[in-house]
Amino acid sequence: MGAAVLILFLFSAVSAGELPQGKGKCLVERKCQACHGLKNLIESKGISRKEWEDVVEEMKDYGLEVTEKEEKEIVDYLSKYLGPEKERAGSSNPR
Amino acid sequence: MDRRDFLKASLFYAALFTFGRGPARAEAVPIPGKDPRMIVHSPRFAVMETPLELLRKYEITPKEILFTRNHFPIVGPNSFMATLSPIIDDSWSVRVTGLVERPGKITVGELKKMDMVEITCVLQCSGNGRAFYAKKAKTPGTQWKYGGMGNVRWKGVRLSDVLDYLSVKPSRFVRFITADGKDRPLIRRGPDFVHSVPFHDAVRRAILAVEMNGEPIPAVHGGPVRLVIPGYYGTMNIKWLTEICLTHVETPSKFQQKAYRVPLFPVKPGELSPRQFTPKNSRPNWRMRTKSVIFFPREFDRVKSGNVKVRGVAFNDGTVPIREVYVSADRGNSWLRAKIVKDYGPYGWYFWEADLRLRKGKVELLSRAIDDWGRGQPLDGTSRWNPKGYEWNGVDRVELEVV
Ligand code: HEC
Repeated sequence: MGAAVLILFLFSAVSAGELPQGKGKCLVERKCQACHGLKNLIESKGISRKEWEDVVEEMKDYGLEVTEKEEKEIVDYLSKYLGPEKERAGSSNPR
Repeated sequence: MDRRDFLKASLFYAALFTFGRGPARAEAVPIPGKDPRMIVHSPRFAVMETPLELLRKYEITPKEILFTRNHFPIVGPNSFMATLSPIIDDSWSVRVTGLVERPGKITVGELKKMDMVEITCVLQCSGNGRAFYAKKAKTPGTQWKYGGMGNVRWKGVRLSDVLDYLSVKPSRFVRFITADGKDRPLIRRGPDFVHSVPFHDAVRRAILAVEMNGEPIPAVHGGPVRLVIPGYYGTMNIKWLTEICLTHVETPSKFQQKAYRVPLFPVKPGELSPRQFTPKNSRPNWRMRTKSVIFFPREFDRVKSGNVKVRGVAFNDGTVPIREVYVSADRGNSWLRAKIVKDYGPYGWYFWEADLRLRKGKVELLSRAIDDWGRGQPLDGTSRWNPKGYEWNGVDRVELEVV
């Protein structure tokens, strides 16, 4: 039950156009809004870690500048908070 | 950009940003004049989808509801595109360069005096339907459902006529045309949005369009001149055209080499990353795959049991005509041939209808198109799952509760 509420909260926070709280959020906000809004990220919520790695790699092609350390922190954040539903919050599905 | 422009852009941006954050509030459309019911996927890039309820109302998709897709923020040097009004500029020119005896340049004013053709085409984002791949595994990018397409009437001058008019005389080594438009990245190091398409095919199909639906092309849709390649995915139809370069190889732009591509063989999620795309293992989003969409009835329609006229559209890359459309009300066990009631030529929507008897309760309707070459739609569209979620063309499905 507690988990369900938490998931719901996460889910609604995300759909309102805000990133969930967590380590790396500030970095993501700083680095990922130079060219587009956070909506681009939120719309891709649910992809795997490997795919987030590829996305960040693609963004470097478009001109994103990050150090290796920053890149890792960003990918950690994205795959933890915008990763596949089951990896994000146990096995239950928010819908 | 002068100071006033900058101020205007910043104000506009600030407004966008504020609206973008409002909890659960409907977002302001980032292009004034677009229907407020449009689904805004990215305010800063002005990426908007047409809801299916609106899309199905018109045979030719009006500019107010036609989807939009841009690749850079619509501010600063790109703010010229952020309007539904046309860009009136007869001195706007398109350069023809590359492997030619004589490079040339043609203005919009000159184009307007030449012989024009009118072609109705499906304009479709190669990511249209991406959301449906999530049934297998979600892919990154705009989660388009149906509304990343429209049926549009273009008017313009054939590319072949432009090449003749300018006497550029292409070399026999020309294999691609590489087209560029006025939009550009805001970041210095960012690649430009450029695409290459096969020369032999482009020369037979492409036009330099100056009108859309009987009016000068709205700025957001690529005016004053857009390269329209009938039957090709939208991304190849370069907007705000400034240059056509005749080349021997495809552009190195990341937009051609790492994105807008599908693998040449089936891949499982996680098996091949877009970073590994090469010309040998993948191809660009060029000719459109055969597809059909059920317009009526949809999930949100109230359908009474008895006779129901199911209707929708079908299209392909226009190489050969759509031959048949079938519908099923029993999960594909039996198929009824629909009647094609209207078409707009090889590149537009084919409108079809089928009379079905539906009983009360749950029913799943399917539609499937086949063209003269037998090219159709997979029963399970996710069998074409690909890392960037392009070119969805699965059999269309509607789950209904008939009352
Ligand atoms: C230098 C500019 C730039 C920066 C910085 C940037 N992006 Fe992007 N991003 C783009 C462009 C350009 C596109 C659209 C590509 C297209 O039009 O196909 C895009 C699209 C996307 C998409 C949609 C999926 C896709 O592949 O097109 C996602 C997700 C995304 N960006 C995530 C991020 C994240 C996460 C960050 C921060 C780590 C970030 N972006 C930073 C330029 C940038």
